[in-house]
Amino acid sequence: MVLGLGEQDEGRQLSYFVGSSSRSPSPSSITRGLGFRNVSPSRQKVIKTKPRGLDEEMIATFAKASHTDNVVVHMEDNIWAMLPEDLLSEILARVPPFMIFRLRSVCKRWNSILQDNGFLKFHSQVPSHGPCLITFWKNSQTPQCSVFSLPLKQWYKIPFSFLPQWAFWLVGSSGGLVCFSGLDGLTFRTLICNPLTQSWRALPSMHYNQQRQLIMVVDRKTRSFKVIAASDIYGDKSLPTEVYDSKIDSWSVHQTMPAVNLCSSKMAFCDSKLYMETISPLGLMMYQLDAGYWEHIPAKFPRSLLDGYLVAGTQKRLFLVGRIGLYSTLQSMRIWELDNEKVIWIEVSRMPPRYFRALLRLSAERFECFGQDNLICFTSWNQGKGLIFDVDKKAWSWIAGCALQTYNSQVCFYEPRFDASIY
Amino acid sequence: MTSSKTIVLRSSDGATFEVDEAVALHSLMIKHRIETGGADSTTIDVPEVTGNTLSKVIEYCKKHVEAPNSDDLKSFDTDFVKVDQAVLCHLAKASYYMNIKGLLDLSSKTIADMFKGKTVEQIRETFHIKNDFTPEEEEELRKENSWNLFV
Repeated sequence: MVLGLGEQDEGRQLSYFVGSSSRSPSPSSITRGLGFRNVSPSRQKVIKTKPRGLDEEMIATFAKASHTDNVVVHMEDNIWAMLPEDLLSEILARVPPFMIFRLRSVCKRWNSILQDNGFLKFHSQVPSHGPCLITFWKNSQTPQCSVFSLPLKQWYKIPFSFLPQWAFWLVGSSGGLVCFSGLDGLTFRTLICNPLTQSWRALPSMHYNQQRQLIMVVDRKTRSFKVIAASDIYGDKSLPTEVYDSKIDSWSVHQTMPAVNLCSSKMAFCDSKLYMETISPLGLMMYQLDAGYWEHIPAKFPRSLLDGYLVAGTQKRLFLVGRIGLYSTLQSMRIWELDNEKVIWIEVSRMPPRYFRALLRLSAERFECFGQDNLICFTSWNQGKGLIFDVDKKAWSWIAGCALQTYNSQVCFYEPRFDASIY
Repeated sequence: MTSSKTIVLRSSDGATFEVDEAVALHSLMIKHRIETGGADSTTIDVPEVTGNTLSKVIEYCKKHVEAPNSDDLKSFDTDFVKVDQAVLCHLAKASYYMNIKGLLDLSSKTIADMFKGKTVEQIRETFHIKNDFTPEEEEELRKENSWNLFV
């Protein structure tokens, strides 16, 4: 596939870090993903050498392998020509979101289908496409944004020029919406956008409008979202907690977080509660969103915990992820879950040593950890790799074809949806 | 012998199928016809659907009505749509006309998966759609929707 010219054929591959296409066999895509290779479309060689440190790879498969995976199905003319419009909308609503854009070029009617209320209605009822990762990197002025679809194992570059210049920090993503914050001159501002519809809007300023740690949560049932501004480890701790509610399009002021010493700015939102880690007193600071007040939970962290990432799971599960062990040779990466009584962390899984060694070559190496829907993702920027742990299946797997090449990218899970409204 | 009521469905080409009422009611269109039909509602005409397709549709409804919680329902569905394109297209149209949500979901999803890897031109040919964009409009759209496969 050549950039910017003509129709895009998904089966082709480009140079640099290529995702696996629907035609290439999976194992070769990992080797191709590491390092620069100019693979011209006409010669797709299978590269046999495996990179060091990976003695076996398990490819994350989030979509059922269908018999159409490796074949471009020829659709016979006379059969399909007379489809009723509503039926066509039903079918289009089930096409993966990224392919819909290509379909807009077919004719004017199909182009307007995207804005059609009927189509959005169909689309909102269709199950989610599957987990995707959104990466965002701002190089002085130009934002670079890409989405990696785990089911399709492909990268898509999203035009993000629609965002204002001040958008700088990727706050997070939920229910198809993505939240950014940044400094517009000296003013701290926040915005919400839907990358698929290329629409965005700035949120009103907070009452105490300073640069703050934010978290966004979407409620799909009420089709609304909230943004919570809590204290962070570096910021002004006398600021009260503020919550933005899209239903009333305004911020409300709530209890200031009690004076505790936070040990990190890592937050997780789960079951209408926001959690932050505290070092004195040891445990978690929990904010009840509905009630609007803070409470301390004295659940002690596991001993010798080096980093503590909080990850929210489904059905009220809260996970703690991090390395144990001061000496690099004895380190292991573990995952704990907070028990029902919120008293103790129970170990759920340990990263197998071969994945740990491959992910972090040096003990001081930086990695990021985040999660959604019982998937926990580890990314190592130096390695350009992504590793996923599926809590339900208890399975570890590399993200095939996912080479995260930009050192300073911010990344989080993203669910592409057309029907996610910014209002 | 059976105490449940049966309904006769008649396809466009005159083929008739006798089915249990419960199975026939899986189609909301038939349900509506029965409820509004009055006394003469034991034979329902389905002129939009041919006999071959109707027999497959009935097979789907039977399975989903008689064994909705069976473990092999999922594999039944998967195998059910492993048919050639003509049959799949007819199934989708039939499920749409007869208002059978489950079958509509299943067939629509299967067809949507077929879009993978197609170029815009191929899609136009398949659906007999005329390109009504001017070259400038088309170029503009292409630029806007450059969801390319690269990083």
